[in-house]
Amino acid sequence: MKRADEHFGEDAILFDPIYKPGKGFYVALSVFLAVAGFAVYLYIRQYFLGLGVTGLNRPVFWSFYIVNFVFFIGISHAGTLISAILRLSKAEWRRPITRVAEIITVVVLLIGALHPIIDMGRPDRALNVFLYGRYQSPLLWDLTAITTYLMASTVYLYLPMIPDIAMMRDKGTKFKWLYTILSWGYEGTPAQKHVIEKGMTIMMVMVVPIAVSVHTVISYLFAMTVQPMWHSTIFAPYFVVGAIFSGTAVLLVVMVVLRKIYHLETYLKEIHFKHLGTILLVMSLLWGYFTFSEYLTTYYPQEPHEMKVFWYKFIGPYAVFFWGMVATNLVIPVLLLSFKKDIKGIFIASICVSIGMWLERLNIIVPSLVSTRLPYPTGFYVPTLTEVGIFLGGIALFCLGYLLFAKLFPLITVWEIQEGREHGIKEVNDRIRSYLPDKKIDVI
Amino acid sequence: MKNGNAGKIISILQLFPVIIVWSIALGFTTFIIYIINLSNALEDKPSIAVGISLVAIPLLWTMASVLTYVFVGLKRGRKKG
Repeated sequence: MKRADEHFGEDAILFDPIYKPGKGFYVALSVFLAVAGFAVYLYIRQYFLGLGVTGLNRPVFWSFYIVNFVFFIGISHAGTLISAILRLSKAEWRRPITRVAEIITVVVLLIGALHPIIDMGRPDRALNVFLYGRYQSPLLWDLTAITTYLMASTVYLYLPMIPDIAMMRDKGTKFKWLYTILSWGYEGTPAQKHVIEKGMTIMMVMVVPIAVSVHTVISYLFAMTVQPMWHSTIFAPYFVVGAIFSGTAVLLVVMVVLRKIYHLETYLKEIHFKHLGTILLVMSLLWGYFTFSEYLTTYYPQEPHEMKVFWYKFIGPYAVFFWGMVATNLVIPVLLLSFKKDIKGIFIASICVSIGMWLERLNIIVPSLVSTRLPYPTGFYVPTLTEVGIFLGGIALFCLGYLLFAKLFPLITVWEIQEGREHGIKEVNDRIRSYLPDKKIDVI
Repeated sequence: MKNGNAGKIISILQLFPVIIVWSIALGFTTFIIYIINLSNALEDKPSIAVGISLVAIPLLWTMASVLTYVFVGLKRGRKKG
């Protein structure tokens, strides 16, 4: 049997998580399994005791679970959307980050989609959507959009994996049967390469509008109601911007962690963080613009119900979350990404944005339900251990999904890196020549 | 003989992703048609369901077709012999 170094050449390090997982892998696996197991216990307890074990009350019918649902689905925008845009625009720096991003999408979509079922209390009632569904309800638009996106993201993740899976099949170590099945007989012939490229191109084009549609439709869950501060025409683009913003932040956090634990410094270089950091900065400013616009148009007409929610967020019980959101989504990232654009600065900014975007979802959902238009007394909401535990379980499941993927498949697209070395440099050179006036100019 | 059987089993298992994707596409199509029929039976408005079906069904079918195209293309593109 060949050693990984001999078989995979200079990219052998990319296969280390598969062939040399180390003690850390099993420790991490145990920790995440324990947290996820605790969350499963909390959910089973909730199933038998009812939603009374949560902080849900009248009139706050939606809270933590729906906040997490919107948050996780938002993160999913990072992967497939960013990867598709970078591939379509032939951004050469994309090569080491596309798969890292695509895995996030598939894993968080699965976790996010679980949350509305958890929120129902009785999961069997999910069947009612299929038996008595009405397409007048945005909930069904959501179901359609998320199913389509999950399917598209999975296919889009799988197609570029085929050549790498074939490489592992040919190495002939453990799980050879799995790699033989999943590689679909790929042998790297020109005809096969052409087929994969064509399939990927079609998926790239399809995935972008599908990704945008998902968070548009999620915003409609709120905007199609007449709840104060939900009924807004800019909610769809506001949600899409927020989703790309949080997704980019989580992608950067994941990249920093992977770089550290799998020693991928030669693949995930500072330049990749700087480019994504610039995207994060732009998204932060865009998010600030949308937030300003949203709150100004609420404040100016002084509609009483809306103003009650407005002040609840600004100076009421949710002020700490609202101003925390402004600080972590706008002030800190803009300062850090403008003045301290190294990996450490970008990492801190990304952590802040990940927290801030969760707070944003909380700020959108809870205060509007606390002060409804209906004649309820003003409510209050405090999450219980069940809700917090299930949220932590969701994060543990995300880490677990990522860890197991890393144990089976390379986290960086090996064939794309090799293709970049062999053809990318010449292709970029030719492309730059084609942008310039038709004169013989040597481009370095 | 043993290798031949293993080859057959692998070929069948390789079809699984394609079967799953087509099942989702066909299942969703059936669901949307059922919803449209239900709304007609209840004298509800089917317009939104029809609108969404015009987007969702072709998308799901295209994705399933892409996967099938790659599956068939990879089988056909193998080295001769």
